[in-house]
Amino acid sequence: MSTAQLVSLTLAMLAGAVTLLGLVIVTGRALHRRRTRRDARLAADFRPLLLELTGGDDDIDEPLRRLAALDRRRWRAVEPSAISLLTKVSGHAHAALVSLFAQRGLARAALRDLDRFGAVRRATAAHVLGLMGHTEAAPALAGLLSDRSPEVRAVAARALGQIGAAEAADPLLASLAAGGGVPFHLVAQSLIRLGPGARPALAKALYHPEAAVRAVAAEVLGLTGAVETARVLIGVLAGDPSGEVRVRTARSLGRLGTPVCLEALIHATGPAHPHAVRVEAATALGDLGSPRAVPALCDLLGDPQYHVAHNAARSLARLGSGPAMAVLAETVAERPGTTAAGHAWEALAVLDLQAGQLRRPPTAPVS
Amino acid sequence: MNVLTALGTLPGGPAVQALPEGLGVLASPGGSGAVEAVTSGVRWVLALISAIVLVYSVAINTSYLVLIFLATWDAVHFHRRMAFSGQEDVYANPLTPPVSVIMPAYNEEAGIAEAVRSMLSMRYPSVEVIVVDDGSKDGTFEQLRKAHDLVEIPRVVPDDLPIRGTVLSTHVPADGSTPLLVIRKTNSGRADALNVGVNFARNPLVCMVDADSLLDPSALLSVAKPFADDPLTTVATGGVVRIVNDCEVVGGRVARVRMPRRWLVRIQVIEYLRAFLLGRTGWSRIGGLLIISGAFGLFRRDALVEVGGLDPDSIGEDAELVTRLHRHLRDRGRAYRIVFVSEPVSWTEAPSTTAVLARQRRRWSRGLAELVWKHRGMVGNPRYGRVGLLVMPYYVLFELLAPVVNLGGLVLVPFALWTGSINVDFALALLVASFGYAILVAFVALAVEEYAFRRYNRWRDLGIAALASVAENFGYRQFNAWWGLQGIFAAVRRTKQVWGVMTREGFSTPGKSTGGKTG
Amino acid sequence: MAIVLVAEDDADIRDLIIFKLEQTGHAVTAVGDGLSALKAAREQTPDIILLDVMMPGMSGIDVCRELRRIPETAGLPIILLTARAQESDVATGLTAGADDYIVKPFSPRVLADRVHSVLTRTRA
Repeated sequence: MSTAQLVSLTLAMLAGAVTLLGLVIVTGRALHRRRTRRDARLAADFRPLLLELTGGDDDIDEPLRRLAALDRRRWRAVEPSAISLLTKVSGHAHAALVSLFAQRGLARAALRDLDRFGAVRRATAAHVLGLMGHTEAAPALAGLLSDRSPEVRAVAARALGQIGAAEAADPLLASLAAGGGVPFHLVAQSLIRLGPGARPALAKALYHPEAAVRAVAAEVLGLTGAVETARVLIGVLAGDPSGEVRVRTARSLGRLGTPVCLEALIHATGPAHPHAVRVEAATALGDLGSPRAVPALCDLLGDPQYHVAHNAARSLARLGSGPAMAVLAETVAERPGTTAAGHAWEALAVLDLQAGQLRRPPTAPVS
Repeated sequence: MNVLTALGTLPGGPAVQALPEGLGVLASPGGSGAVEAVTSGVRWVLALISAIVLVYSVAINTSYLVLIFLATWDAVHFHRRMAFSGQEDVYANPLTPPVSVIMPAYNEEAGIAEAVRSMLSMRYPSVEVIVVDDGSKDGTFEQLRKAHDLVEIPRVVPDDLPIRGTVLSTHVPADGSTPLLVIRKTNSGRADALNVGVNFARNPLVCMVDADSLLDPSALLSVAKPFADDPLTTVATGGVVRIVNDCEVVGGRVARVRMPRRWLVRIQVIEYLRAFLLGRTGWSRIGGLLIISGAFGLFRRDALVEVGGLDPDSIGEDAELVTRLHRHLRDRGRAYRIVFVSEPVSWTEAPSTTAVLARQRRRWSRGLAELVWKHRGMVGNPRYGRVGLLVMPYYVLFELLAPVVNLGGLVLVPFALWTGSINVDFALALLVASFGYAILVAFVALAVEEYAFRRYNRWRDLGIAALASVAENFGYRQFNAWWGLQGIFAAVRRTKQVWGVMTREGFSTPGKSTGGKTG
Repeated sequence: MAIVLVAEDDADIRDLIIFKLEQTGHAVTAVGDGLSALKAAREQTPDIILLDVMMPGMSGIDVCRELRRIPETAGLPIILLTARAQESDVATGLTAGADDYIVKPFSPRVLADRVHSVLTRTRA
């Protein structure tokens, strides 16, 4: 074949490909539009029924019966908005939707779908089961935490939290160890939703070899107010090899707010600790809310690390009690020109703004 | 067969094989003598160049195609995930990390108040907005003061990152609770202004945005999601930038997406789609994202402090920062992720006149050239993994040198044809490879956009996009190459200057450097 | 029977609230963003307003503050709808002048009860 023929052949092929792509684009768009229009129309027809079902009081039998009896084509158009409503309501409305899904056999179908080949099928099924709070699905969902598809793993982690069975704590924690295959924040949120039943597993996880597992456990224990674990957390703050874990532990101790946390946090602001831990501990002392933190915070005002001093000043302002205010005012008055006075001045000014009036600087601002 | 293989597959051998067949003229018997030898030598060189241009065109377009293919996987993935992705989870989750948004502003009085207001009402659980007024000469600060009832609160200036400008004053809204901080400082350029903002930022994540870009309401949630998913290794994420020209904007939000009115901007829409949206998604898929647009990027604050912040001497400070992050983290053997988020997006005004466009492109190309020069130790260095072995060499070969080859081809190929160094068929093959293939790539990108994102809803927009894909190749591309070349020259000249300055600085007092505005 | 203004950008939630409140005998107008909420609050003089915290353009908190600032709407009862039960958010809402708040996901029945009780409390 000569070069000329080759060139024209290639040209023809290119032109063909471009035309084909054009057609693909145009037909794709046309089909998509038609489908959306049709589904929107069908969904709109049945929206009043859905609203009656979710917004009704004791008169939901009629809409429930009619929605349960919809043929498959109509249901397919209604289902997405029914599922999206399920994420937005609680109480009776939620229960009404769940009974509709039960009548349509959605839970059974979803349980079957959990081990389908297509990842979208599995994820959708796990999503629906989680929204329905379908307790029987928990073991199967725990299995999906090591699914090959990242979406399925994520949805399974969330669904386990929505179902709220405390036994899910161990598999959820273990899923973080596998190397970040399951989203951290979803695991954390689910562990929070599991409630007090998950605490023993969380306390044990503080000694897990993987940093991510320890981090999530420390964080969740603080967020759920597990005061009985404060002593264990103090040990973690003192000795964990990971800075990230210690930062999160400091935050949690501030949230727990028991007296034993105070000493540990004050110690964590010391110069022997890494910068990030000190910064977090200075903030946590403000969260904790004890006036006994005032002397330690006052010392930190002069810290050479900007964020340690700054957060200490903010914490003093948040304590807001007599001694804290006095320390701030004293620092401004007695150490003019120092950065400590600068931080203290700023904290006082923010407090004044919140109270509705701004004081003028007594001395030139520090720069 | 040869040209076909060259078109269909990756570069390498085919070019060399292509030579003899396409270059029948060369083989023609000629006389002897010095003149003959020189002429035939010149012809041979011209023919070789033509062959290189051919192989290059095929290779560059194929690389786009591969990147688009990688991106498609991700985009389709994204779309299927939409139904159960749970953005609400990130929003309602107490572990979602707080973000400090840093907005440098230089003479932005027209839009700054609106931009800040829109930023403050972003859909995100905890966000602090820091505006750094970089010595504006207009009413930027005055607009902000009026809109948000600012009062001055002096603050100690943090020193995590070295800064060049001087902080003049700091201001917060008088209500004491709106999370806004306005910093006034002497002019020292965008990068330095961002560094000042990073210093003042209180939250573990910092988001860099341009004052003139508009964000989708849930944009922050989306870019923050990788950090929430994997907080221990994610160090940076970047969002896609799209062109806002002629879109309908209501209350600081893009209400309806439209194709721009001017062809110059329409072509840029296509270009952004291919290079920024799909190209970067593709790179991100294989862990080689090198450029996070300055218009919308989210970083771990501690990582920024660790690498020393943005380089005020760099023209392309955004890309340089990401490259430095790669380098720093690879040097220390740490596991890290830098992720590109393809939706939702930030919207930015694209240049609508050739003069502004030329300036922008010169700056981009100069920035890239300087970046590659600064980090030349990474190019081809196996120590830097994919970034060193694949991404950096790619940028040198297909981004930086593209203008050179493009313009070289434009000048030399007709000349080669005129001197008979190549025959008409070969010239046609070249045209097909560089233009036909490029149009094909643009259409593939359009198809992906249509199936994955569907931002442009009107039929008319689709037709315009198709025409712009073709039009891009005639005129726009060549001018672009020319500006790119100018940028490279500027970089070469400046590199020399910097050397000179550095030599002199060796004798003066070390330490304080004098800041100057760049860009 | 009262005139209720609902500002909520999520169509599902908006429709559900309208349905529930109309069922309990109120007259409901609804808008989808903060700026329209402000406008409607001044023009239609509702008896009570339900504000979603996170709306495009202007947040519910901002609307709330603004309403309290304007004399003719300063006394208007406000209920906030928020997706987060975090203390800080609730505190911000209440400082901005809201009378009550409802956390999403919400129960339509509870919402109707809250509207009723806020109305009785503020009318008393």
